[in-house]
Amino acid sequence: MLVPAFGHSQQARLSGKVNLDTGWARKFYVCRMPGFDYMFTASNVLIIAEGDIDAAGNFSVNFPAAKDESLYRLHFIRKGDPASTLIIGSREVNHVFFIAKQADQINFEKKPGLPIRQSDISGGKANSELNDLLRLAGNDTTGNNTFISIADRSTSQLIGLLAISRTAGLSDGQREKVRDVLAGYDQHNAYGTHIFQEYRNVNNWKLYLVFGVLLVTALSLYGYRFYKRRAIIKIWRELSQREMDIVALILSGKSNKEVALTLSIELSTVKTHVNNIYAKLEVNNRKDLDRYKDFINSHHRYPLQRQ
Amino acid sequence: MKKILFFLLALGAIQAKAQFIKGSIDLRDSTINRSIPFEVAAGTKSVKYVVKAYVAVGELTVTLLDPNDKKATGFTLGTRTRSGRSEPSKGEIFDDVNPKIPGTWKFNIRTENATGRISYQIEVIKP
Repeated sequence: MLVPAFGHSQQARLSGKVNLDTGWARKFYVCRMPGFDYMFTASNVLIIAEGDIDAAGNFSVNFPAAKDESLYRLHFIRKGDPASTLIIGSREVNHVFFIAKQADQINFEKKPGLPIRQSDISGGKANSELNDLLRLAGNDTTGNNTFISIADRSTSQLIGLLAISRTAGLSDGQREKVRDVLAGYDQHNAYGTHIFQEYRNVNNWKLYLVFGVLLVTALSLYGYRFYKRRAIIKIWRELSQREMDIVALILSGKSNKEVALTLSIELSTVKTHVNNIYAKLEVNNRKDLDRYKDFINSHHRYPLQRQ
Repeated sequence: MKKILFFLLALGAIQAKAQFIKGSIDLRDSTINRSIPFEVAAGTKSVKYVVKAYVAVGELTVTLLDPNDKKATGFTLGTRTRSGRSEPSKGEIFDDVNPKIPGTWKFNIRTENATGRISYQIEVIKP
């Protein structure tokens, strides 16, 4: 790699040669793209350097560069157009993208007769990869596997993230592969903010699903128990005070005879009450009454004795 | 008379083979969100489109969406400078594509307090 001849270490250098017809202004502009979403944004705030093209078509400029790789756009304008002009499509494209970091020397050359978008950008392996990637991205038939493969092979995280950003509608297997690739990336890379978030969301989504299923199950169980308890209370309240007394005594283990003695009533009266209780509570025997045990202490004046 | 009739029929046949959409919007501190839909039939040979936008103030975004609402192309223009002033921006799309997805495609135009002008011309060459 050539070391540029400039003193400021937080800069990179761009040199180029371009042959433009007379309809174009002899100016060039360098924009820094803070994210992939800005690749097709024209705004003066993005312009970080500009300069003149000499009569022979040569130009050069030092521009601020970060320690890590960043994405830049070099563009030219037609005479009379504002500095912030972007022309896209299959013809008359006025820009090229390149990758640079501090102390990089980037070289641009537009070959005569070819459009600007087919110019050569050199100065770092990432730029040849970038050219290949953008060419593939412009082709509708390029599939997700190609982009994932580029991300997997590239030594440039910026290239990898750009390739991943071009994928859409991934299968589960492809998403897993992307996650594997991203696992080796610096999670603080600003170009990957949305991508890291998206693939984290997938994991969160699974957690949310498990949590949701557990929550629904718990609420269903609670609802069922609540409904059942209310139904039992409703039936319980249909008993007369005397019948409640008898149920409490039966559940405390007393026989019909003992109940009759406790309440000072006839045995036959107890039996009649017991039959009525069975009918109201829809039970067939004493054992079935156990389900009402929980209510005796809170709803009856004779708390059950511990057995 | 026969010649005129033949000419009109020929013109009608050419028109039936292509769909033209053309228009422009003048922006004066305008905030709009507008769609320009166009139909692409199965087997359409090509779609040619030219969109030119110029904004002196404000922001403008043009997006071409396929029938699945996937972005095919587009640009955003901003006018704010680092010093907080406004300087004009210009964006153009020239393209001639062979759309593989039939259905309703659309150009979405969204502006925010924009002053300027946008013009568009879409030509769908039918099968």
